[in-house]
Amino acid sequence: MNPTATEEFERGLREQLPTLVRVARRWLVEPAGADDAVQEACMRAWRLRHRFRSGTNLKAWLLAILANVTRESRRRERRWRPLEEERAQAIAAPPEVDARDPLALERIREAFAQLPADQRVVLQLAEVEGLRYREIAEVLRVPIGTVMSRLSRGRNALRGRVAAMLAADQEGT
Amino acid sequence: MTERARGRCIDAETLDRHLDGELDAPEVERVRAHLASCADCLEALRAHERFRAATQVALREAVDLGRLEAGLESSLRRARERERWRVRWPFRVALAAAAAAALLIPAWVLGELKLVPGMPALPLRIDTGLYRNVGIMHYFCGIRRQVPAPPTRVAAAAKLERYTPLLDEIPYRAEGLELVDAHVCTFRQRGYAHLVLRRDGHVVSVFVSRDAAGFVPPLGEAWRPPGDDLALRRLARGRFTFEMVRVGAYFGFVVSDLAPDEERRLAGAFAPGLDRVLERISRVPPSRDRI
Repeated sequence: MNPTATEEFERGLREQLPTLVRVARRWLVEPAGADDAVQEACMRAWRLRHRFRSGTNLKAWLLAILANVTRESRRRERRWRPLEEERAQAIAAPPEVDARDPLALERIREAFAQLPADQRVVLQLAEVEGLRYREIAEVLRVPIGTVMSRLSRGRNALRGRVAAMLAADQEGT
Repeated sequence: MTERARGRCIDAETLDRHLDGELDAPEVERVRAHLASCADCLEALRAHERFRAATQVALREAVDLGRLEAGLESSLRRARERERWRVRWPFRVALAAAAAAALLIPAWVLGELKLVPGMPALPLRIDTGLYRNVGIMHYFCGIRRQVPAPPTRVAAAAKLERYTPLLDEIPYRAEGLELVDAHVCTFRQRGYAHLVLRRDGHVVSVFVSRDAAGFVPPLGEAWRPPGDDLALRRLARGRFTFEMVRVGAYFGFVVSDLAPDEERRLAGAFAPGLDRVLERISRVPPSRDRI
């Protein structure tokens, strides 16, 4: 890879840094561990940059590397928070929230943090980072059906928990 | 009555997939058509959109990249440097090798060319170049018979240094000739000593051998090369003149591209020393130049 291409790659890498950090933090509970994973993923990506095909989705490519790093990190350190998988249930309708309401946003964050790591990551990738199901499947190296089921369960659990929290808030006031 | 009431409304999962942009075209069409006519589902879609917007705001928190960016930049700098070195080191080695070659090769060439002061520049393969230039006999002796030419000028000079003292009996220097090669020729058991001398652009070969019955005719008789000696046949037909001399049990002949009278004169001048030359040369220990 020539110096110009390397510079361009590094520019793209820096642009994707916030996304990588956010996603890593969905996987790994401790922010420091997430940052380490991102740095490791970035350096691994830099070393493998000649394998990246220009014009394809750099974000998805980097996330796939981050997924590998995170997987290894989780295997090695077992630092993620063990949470029970939510049982499949009827998809709940979303509670009424206002994106300008700080309390609602805080409740969403709390509820999200209680989800299993796999669901958190899929939700983050789909709803916040805007990846397609197929891309998420490639990043996580799981079948697309698994992506859809995790997404469905994650959304359902998130909506249910946020609804319960907001209801409790209202009862308390 | 709405479509939801009729059981044809859109479920939450389909709405999510619709917002994710993951429905195929017919499904999108169906959803859109239904939303156009179902206020409940349209409101449900709006609720999904609001919750999704809030989720995105909540989860797209600002990330403090300060420490991470600094660490990453530092790591990238080190990686770039390592890679630059990896790319550069073969080039550096090649450069060092080229520099060494630039120093050593001229030294070697100069050593090759100027080892013996005053020695004229000769082709590297002394036999090859010399013999090819002068014709079939020299060529034959030097090449076809695979006389190992000295591999380098150093070896050639060393060889001549070994032979030169043995040739004092022949006044070649007095005749303005210089010795450019000498070897003992054992082709078909001839046992010739073959001296190659040069003067200006002319080459003079002097062959010395012991007498051999049936091979050397009595002096004064016309000499004809033996039937199996193609080289000498060629020589006899060639442009080289051939002068034979005999001294006791030895005989010699001079082959050259000089004028016949001059060659005959040279042969006469060399004849008295031929026997001693051969005797001395025969005592040279076997080596690459004594075959």
